[in-house]
Amino acid sequence: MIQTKKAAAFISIMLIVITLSPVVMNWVEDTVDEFPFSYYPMFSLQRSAVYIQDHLIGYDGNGGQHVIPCSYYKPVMFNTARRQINKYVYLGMADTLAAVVARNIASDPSGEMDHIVRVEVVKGTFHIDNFFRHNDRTPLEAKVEGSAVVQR
Amino acid sequence: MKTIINRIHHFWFEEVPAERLAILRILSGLYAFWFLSRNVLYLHYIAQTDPVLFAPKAIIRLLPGPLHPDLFLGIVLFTLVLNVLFIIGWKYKITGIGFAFFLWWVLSYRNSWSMLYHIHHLMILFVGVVGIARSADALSMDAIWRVRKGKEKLPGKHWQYGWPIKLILSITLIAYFLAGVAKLAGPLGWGWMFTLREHVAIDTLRKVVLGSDKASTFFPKIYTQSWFFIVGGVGSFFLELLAPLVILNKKAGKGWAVLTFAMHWTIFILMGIRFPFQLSGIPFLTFFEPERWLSNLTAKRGQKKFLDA
Repeated sequence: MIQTKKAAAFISIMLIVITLSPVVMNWVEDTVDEFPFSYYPMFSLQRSAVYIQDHLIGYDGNGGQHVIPCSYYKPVMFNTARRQINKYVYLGMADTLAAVVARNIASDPSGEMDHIVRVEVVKGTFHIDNFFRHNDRTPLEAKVEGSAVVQR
Repeated sequence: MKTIINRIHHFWFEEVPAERLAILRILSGLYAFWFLSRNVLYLHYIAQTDPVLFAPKAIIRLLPGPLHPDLFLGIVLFTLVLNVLFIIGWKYKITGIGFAFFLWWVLSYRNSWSMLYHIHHLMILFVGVVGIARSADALSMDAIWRVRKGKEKLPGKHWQYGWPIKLILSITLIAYFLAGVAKLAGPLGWGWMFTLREHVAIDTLRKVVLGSDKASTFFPKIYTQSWFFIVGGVGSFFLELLAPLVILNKKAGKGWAVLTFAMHWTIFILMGIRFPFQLSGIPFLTFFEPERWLSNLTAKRGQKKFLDA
């Protein structure tokens, strides 16, 4: 525990400098984001008119498409599931991911996804303005990265 | 030069009541307990993730690989025990810094699975500073024990309770400043303030496409109201970039705290983006004198009891 003013001043200066130090990451090429000292890189990302997102699509027996909530991959916080889905696709393991989701759907006691017979991991390119202004949620481009059959 | 140093010294080591720091200890501890206890299962699930997704952060880099999920669960539960001791202020010399360390460790482990959450940074720094300071000299088991034993009187105002608050306040302002600099240093530069809508749109789109129930239902309704997002973008930009300046004036600091707190609630209500620690208002309490609110409350209750009698 801090007992003297000198120690308190030292700790204060050190912590302020360390908290401020990630600011340099804004101007270097090889960036590292850390915890709990961050430069908050999500605010400096370039945004364009389209956005690419890996996601899960389920098909019923009639070929109808349904959004599969990412919680069927893993019941963790949303952004964790999102990033891990992205990483599976990035690593070329979309089939593994689809198999995990298909297994979780098959064993889901709620029965909400009982009509789903097949799962696809899709890389979708969405037009942001169309998505919100015209409620057009069809991707401009959809590439199937992996798939799995729901075996019950 | 001496005058400036004296001013800084007077500002940084301002004598404040022990209760002010104690209130910050209790509230940040309660927040951490709320967060950890409701996420025990989530944390256990995350620890069961495919090891291929393990991307260690901070202190977790010292581990050779992921831990057994049950061992991690044990560490989370141990942290919760320390959390309770932190709140009640028992054996604080050990439990204060101990809890801060384990909370950092647990959240670092949680952030080591391909997703670094930026919502916990401020909380960890807050708890860390409270943990190393004399935050349990009042409103704690240690304080009750010392007074009962006749070892010490109730503490009064002291610099020991002032500097940690000033440090937390400074770190809070720096965090917002860094967010502002990141926007400015990005490819959009000053133009960022006119693209708030696009940033929120991407967050909402992700949630919709991935079937999250956290997607804002309100955002699509206000999407066409460009003026609203421009006002919000410009406002947040200046709140962030000007944050360090408000340290120079108490009233400006209070005003900044109220506006920033309101900004987080607006973002949450209209856009569905939540920063839970900021929404709790706890980081902004360092700009105020919460012990006065507490004494006013107890005085009013005492008065009511007296009148009732």
